[in-house]
Amino acid sequence: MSRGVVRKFERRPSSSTVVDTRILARHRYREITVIAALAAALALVFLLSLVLGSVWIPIGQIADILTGNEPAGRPAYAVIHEVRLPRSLTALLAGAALGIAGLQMQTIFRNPLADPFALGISSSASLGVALVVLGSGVGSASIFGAGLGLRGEALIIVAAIAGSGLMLAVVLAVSARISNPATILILGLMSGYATSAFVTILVAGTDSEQLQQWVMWGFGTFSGVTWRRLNMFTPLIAIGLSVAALMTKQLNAMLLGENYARSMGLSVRRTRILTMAAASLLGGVVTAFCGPISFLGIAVPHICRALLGTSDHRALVPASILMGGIVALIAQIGALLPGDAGVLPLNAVTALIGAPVVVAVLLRSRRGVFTA
Amino acid sequence: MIVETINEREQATGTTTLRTFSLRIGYRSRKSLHIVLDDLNVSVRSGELVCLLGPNGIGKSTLLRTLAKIQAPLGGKVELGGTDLQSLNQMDLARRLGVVLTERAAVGALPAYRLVELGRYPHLGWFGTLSARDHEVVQWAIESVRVQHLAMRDSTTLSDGERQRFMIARALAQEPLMLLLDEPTAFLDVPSRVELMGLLRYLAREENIAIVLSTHDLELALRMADTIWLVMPGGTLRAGAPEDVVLTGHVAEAFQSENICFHSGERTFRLVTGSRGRAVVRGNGLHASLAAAVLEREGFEVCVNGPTQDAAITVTLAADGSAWEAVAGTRGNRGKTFSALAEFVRR
Repeated sequence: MSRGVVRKFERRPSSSTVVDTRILARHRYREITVIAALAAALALVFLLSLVLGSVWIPIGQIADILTGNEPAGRPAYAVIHEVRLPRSLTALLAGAALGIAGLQMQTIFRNPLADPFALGISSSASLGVALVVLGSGVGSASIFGAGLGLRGEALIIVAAIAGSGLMLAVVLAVSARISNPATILILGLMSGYATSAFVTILVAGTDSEQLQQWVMWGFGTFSGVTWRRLNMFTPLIAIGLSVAALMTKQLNAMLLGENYARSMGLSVRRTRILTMAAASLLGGVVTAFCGPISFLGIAVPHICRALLGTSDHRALVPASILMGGIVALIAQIGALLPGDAGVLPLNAVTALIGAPVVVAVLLRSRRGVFTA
Repeated sequence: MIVETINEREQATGTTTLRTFSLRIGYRSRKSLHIVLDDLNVSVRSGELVCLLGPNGIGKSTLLRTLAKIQAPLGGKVELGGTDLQSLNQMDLARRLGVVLTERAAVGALPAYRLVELGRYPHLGWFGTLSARDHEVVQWAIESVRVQHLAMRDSTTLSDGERQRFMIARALAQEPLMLLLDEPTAFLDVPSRVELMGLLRYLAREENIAIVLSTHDLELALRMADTIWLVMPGGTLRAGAPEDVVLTGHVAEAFQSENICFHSGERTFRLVTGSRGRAVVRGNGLHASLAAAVLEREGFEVCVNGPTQDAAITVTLAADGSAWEAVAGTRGNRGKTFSALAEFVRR
């Protein structure tokens, strides 16, 4: 493609005031500082999530285990290596994924309420899972015989991926034909309601044991992802994150709305489809592996906008990745707080921690952080 | 000055930036064509300010949308900088044409400077990193719309007029051959309107850029534009210098209605009121024309310093304009203020 500039303007020396760009440098400095602080905080929270748990394992010992200086036979090794490390990595990746996916959806639809599941991805994953878990009473009861067998969990993941993938395909196919983003959003919402209705019908005709299993899935958890599953989880998340990281320029252009974006040379339809696909992939994969984790996706971008004081995606994208990881890890730590008494539902913890933070952030920032 | 030459504008300095060839615009539905305007052959030179005028719903927006390639023409073609619009891709188009839309665009938590930066979009690489020259262009754009002092303000805290200037700067940052503005003065108060039109007038000349804008500000457009495009009822477009379209009566014809008439000398519209007869104002200068305005509003046909025979009312102003004396048939009065005059006339 030739990118020959059609016309070149010359700035003529002006006696009047010039643009004072020092403030921009100060903005940039603030953004870099915040992002560096977030990276440090993420490292800290990650370590903390390895230290805390049913047994206390000192940092020194954790370092030994991670660097391979601790013999594999010890119980602490098993706890860190088989439980806490995959769990924390999952939380980090899932949080980053939901934070970015929320940011993408909010920008694409210019709607502060949009989240990764705005297109019905979560409820269609639920439908897939519900068909397996709740429908198992009919035909495949053996698979689920006593609670969540390993095979059952794998099946749940496959069902969730199938459900959300199918929904994604339908939504993308339809939205390629629709030019109004609000219409797409409403279609997504409506299909979400419709699939939820199916789930409700399935729930209504289920016995209590399967219902229990279904409710457990709805709580969400970062503990179900083993190393073997991380091998699949990680690259899928990486794909989604790279799309966001490579499209900051396009997302910035969308800030002024689709019409302006188009007039400045953006291929709006392509950007929209690509971003929706990436965000839904992230949301769908997280739902499949960790259950429907609400709230994180909508909250993280708002917190980042307020912290950074900018709508510039060059800063928001890295910040949302880091902040998503931080919030998810804190929620994971919070879920373990009862100690021996058991584990709190992850979804409850994310909302309990996050909602007051978001309210505080929104009320404190004088101007609307998101004025669309 | 002659009616026949109205479309044969002299090729003055400046190259032809935009040209339409037998352009037919309108909408294509499943089965039928709805043609809004047909056989348009107009051109815009660099440095020329064109104002598009016409009553509501007559096709101004359709024309602008077609020129901006938002919708395809039904026939004919548009050439921008010598290339057919339909053969330009989105990026090439954005490097030739800057657009300012009617929708209010404000982004929270973003300095106005960054809004203008967005205009560099078609010139940047994949990661959108701005070079030193890109920043130069952004600063040039901001300086040329004279809002340097506001560049670091959050765009949501700007007034409508200020924001509109930044949107123009953003379009300028694309370094286009032409600017297309859809009712840029719509949300603005009167001083801002005049200032904005003045700014566009200046930009066209100083930066040698072609500007086409649609507006309802007829008087302002007739005063500021190099060329008027007048969309007439019935789907034709008259192009010409403002004075020419006034002289030929096309302005009056385009906006014709029972209740208003266009006053060519003053280039304004007036409400047609039931005539209460002829009134004569005797006096000079501002006071005389203001007294005439009072009488006109009350439904008289006014003649300044005309013969007083048969006049329904005669108003004589003092030499320094400080007082008036009115005679209407057998009644008469004198006073100092125009409100007193209006009071007398009403009775």
